[in-house]
Amino acid sequence: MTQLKAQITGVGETAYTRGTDRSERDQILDASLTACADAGIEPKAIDGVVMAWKDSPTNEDVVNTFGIEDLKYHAHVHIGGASPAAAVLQAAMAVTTGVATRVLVATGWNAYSTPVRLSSGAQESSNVTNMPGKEIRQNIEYPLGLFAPMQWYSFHANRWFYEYEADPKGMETVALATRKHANLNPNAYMGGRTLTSDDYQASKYLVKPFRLFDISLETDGAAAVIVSAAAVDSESSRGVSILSGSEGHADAPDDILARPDVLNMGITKAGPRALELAGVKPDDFDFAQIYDCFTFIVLRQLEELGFCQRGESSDFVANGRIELGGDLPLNTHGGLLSEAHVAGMNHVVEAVRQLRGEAGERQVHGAGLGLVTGYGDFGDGSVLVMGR
Amino acid sequence: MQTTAGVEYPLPWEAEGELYGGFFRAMKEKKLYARKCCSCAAWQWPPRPFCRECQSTEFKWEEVPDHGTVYTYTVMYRAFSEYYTDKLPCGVVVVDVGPVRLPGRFLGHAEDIECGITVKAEFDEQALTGSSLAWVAR
Ligand SMILES: [Zn+2]
Repeated sequence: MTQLKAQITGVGETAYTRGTDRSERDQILDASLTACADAGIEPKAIDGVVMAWKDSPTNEDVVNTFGIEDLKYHAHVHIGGASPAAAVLQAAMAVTTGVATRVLVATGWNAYSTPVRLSSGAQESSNVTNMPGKEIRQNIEYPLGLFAPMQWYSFHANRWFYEYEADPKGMETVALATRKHANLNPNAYMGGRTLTSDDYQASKYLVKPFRLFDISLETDGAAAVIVSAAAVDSESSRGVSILSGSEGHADAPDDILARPDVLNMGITKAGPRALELAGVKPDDFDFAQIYDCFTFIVLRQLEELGFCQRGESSDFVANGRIELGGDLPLNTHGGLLSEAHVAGMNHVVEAVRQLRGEAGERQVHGAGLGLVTGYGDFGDGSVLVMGR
Repeated sequence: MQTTAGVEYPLPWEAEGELYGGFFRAMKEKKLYARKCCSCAAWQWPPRPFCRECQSTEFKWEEVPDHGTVYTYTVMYRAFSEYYTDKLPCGVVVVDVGPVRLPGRFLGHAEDIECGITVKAEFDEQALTGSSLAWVAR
């Protein structure tokens, strides 16, 4: 296996808000320009683009905005929240092989300022697009009232509780720990709002077993990174290395309900692969930015990644282990639960900030090796192992 | 959505299509059918154009048991589409009937649902109008 020779040399984010008058396209282009400035390069130095999930801006929009004279590579990744980490892997492969030299990876989501939010009670089957398995959705699930990710994921969660007698307390632990981290992050949407155990316990169930605070935010914003060949921007001493990456797909990848073992997911396959390629073990990580569309899926990923056995993640995350100062600080930016839902692009950005030592009050002391996961659609998974 | 007997049931998009027609026609006659590959005899649910075992495109519809055990489920306290807003909390169970797993509405107290309970198909009005299958504890 050829080693990746790729670095992330720039990161950019918009403000994370509820309410914006800017289109997703413009937000993503704005975050992308910020990433170029952060990398210390002219925008026109970009020669590759990977759209992570969202199709707008198109690569043509990027060419026209940046003044690119010779775009050598582009790709689209369509695995929901698994797209950003998978897209960074594609960019890393492109610069390792010499197909391109500096590749923009970007996405964003106006999840709040959208006509029909995912949490809305007014879903129409004709509105739901850009999902795999359309016939299953349209013929079986929509007539049953199944429209929203929190419903699909609950089938996985409820089987997990039954089969492994998992302790739901771990869900609260993840919600509270990541909120504490967000409280140290000026750009986190929930930066100024604390969350207590009482708040959590008092919050309503929307879908069993998910309370309001088990579910990620609906926010507006975008994020981007620049992936460069290790040799070119080595003048950028702030570049962090992409040591390995992987993606994985669940069995029956478009259908949770008929999946032979609903607990087998993309990360089950992708997790061990990425760690083996990088030659690292779970214990080696100084922090982890784990895709957190729901609290429970953080716990499940920790199990499948090998941090603990199935059903044991609630014990694993207890006693401050995943908080700053613990053995494995997790989602140090606040994640999708408390920073913003940018489909996990913000997890990649945060990993870079930690490895550069630029995370301010939430800096993990001596951070040298970091883990990032993505999780999307009906169980697609992606993993990045990153180092200084 | 379509109006049947004054009540609007959410309907599948392709109730008469090649992939799902056999299932919905059988449901309206109080039977449960799933697809079986004509070439390798593998069961297929949900219906797809190709058999994943042998890539054949020839299928027949065969009856499957009308009872089984709950593999997993959800309980909704929020409705995501208009039809279910006055039916909360409502449950959806995924039922292992042997050859395949079939999801459906749970009739009864949604909060009583547990994995492993035994259920039987119930052909209520919503099933007989071709909307969706339902299950009751037995
Ligand atoms: Zn076959």
